[in-house]
Amino acid sequence: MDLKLKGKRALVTGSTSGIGAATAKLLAEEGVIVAVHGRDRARGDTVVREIEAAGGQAILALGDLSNDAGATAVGDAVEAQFGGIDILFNNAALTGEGHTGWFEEPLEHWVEAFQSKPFAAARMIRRFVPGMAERHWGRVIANASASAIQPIGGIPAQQACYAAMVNMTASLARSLHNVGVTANTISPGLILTPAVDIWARDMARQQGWSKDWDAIEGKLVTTMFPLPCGRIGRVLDIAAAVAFLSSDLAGFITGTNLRIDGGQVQCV
Amino acid sequence: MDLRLAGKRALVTGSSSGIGAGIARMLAAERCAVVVHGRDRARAEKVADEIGAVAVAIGDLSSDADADAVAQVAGEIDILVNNAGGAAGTSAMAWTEVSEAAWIETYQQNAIAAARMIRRLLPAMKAKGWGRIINIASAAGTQPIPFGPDYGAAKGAVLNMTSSLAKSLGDCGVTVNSVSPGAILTPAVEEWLGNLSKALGWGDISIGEAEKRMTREIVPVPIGRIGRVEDIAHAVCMIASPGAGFMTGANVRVDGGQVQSVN
Repeated sequence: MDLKLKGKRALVTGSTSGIGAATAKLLAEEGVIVAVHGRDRARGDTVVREIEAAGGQAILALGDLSNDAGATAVGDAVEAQFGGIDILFNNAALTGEGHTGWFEEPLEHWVEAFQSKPFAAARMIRRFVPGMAERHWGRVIANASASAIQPIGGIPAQQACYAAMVNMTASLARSLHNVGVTANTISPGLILTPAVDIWARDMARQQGWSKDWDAIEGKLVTTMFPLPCGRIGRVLDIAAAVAFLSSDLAGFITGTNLRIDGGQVQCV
Repeated sequence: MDLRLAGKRALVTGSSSGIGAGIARMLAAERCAVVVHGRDRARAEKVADEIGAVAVAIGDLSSDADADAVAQVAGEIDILVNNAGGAAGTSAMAWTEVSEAAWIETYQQNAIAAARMIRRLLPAMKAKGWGRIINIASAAGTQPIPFGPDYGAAKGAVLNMTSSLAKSLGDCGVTVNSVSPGAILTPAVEEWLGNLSKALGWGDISIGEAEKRMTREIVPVPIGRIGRVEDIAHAVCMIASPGAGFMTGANVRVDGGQVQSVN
């Protein structure tokens, strides 16, 4: 199926690793010219080189989206090379580190988390969506989490950020009447990113499980993280969904939240 | 993107017209072996000829015997799209006008018809270790309207059973999801829109203009148009793809933003 993405310009925030990097690469395979974004030049360069080696086109935009100056720098870098963009994947977030419980995590950390996730997304939306509306074509996709609508007792700051992403994206969809721009959220369940890999292996050690990855994954999805699908997701599962929502053929899908979670969210 | 659907065998119920025919057409274009289903043989065969389907299955899925016959013709199916449905002539009826018989008929046509085909075709998918069940629900399943209550309730049941089935399947390579269309431009909706234009005194305007007005004034749809069958077909192809194997128990809204709530 031709997703009709050839020649579109995309900014994938937080794409120097994990879901973002996989999405940048998959979009590039579909002929999208991709702006890879991150804070670390070496890691960003690696992703750009990998895209180019596979025959794709990419640039690097460095900067910290959790403050106005950093976001402006990223916006300027992308605009200087692309003019505008057609696809915005708001994927960047603060790392999972340091998120703790309701009564342990300092409130400053809530502010940081909001700055680096929903506020970062709002900065990029305010910068790039007016241009999309003017050209009458655009795709805004937010990366949230299954925990946005099915929170656990811990990590309240991080989960609230995800819930904000779902809500603000639906609001954005409603504000864009008949301008050819859609806005949707993706809510991944547990996905095997480098961070999840470390977490799972640590836990396996603590619980005295086998060291074999397949055994760890099998145990995880039948005990601590019950998943009907029987496996943890892979970054490509999410990248494929982003490509689908970005497609010209997905123009009637807006204001929705696409769960790619192996059945993790329990409710209808 | 290669959706890797070539060679998969798909049954699309209610595919002799409208959304079902559109889904069957797009799956066939992705080189699936498609079985077209309908109640009217001539109409089903016409669609099958046009899209290059491999078989035509005729029957009323509100009957066990007909469902058996359809399953027999369908054979071992990889992708089941439970699209057949509709209301028992109740779509414009006030709440209390809908008779008990109509409630039962609508439930039969939507929820039980889907359950019948799942019960018949799931064992082969499980045995093979791969399958896709895609239930076509409706925006009305989660955002009910004040009339024709039997239809929204039956579609609500479809959404609920999708989630329940996903949980029951476990690690067997079969996923189950729903697609919830908003207003889609089928011949029936086109006729309704024409009548609406007349009734509201919009004058002699094109369907395109009526569509814009309708999505602004009558049923608010941010995207500013009524959907097309291809919009739904595209979502079905995506979910059917092996690349969507981590998606199960979900409801994909393809409604131009018609449903107001977050999900």
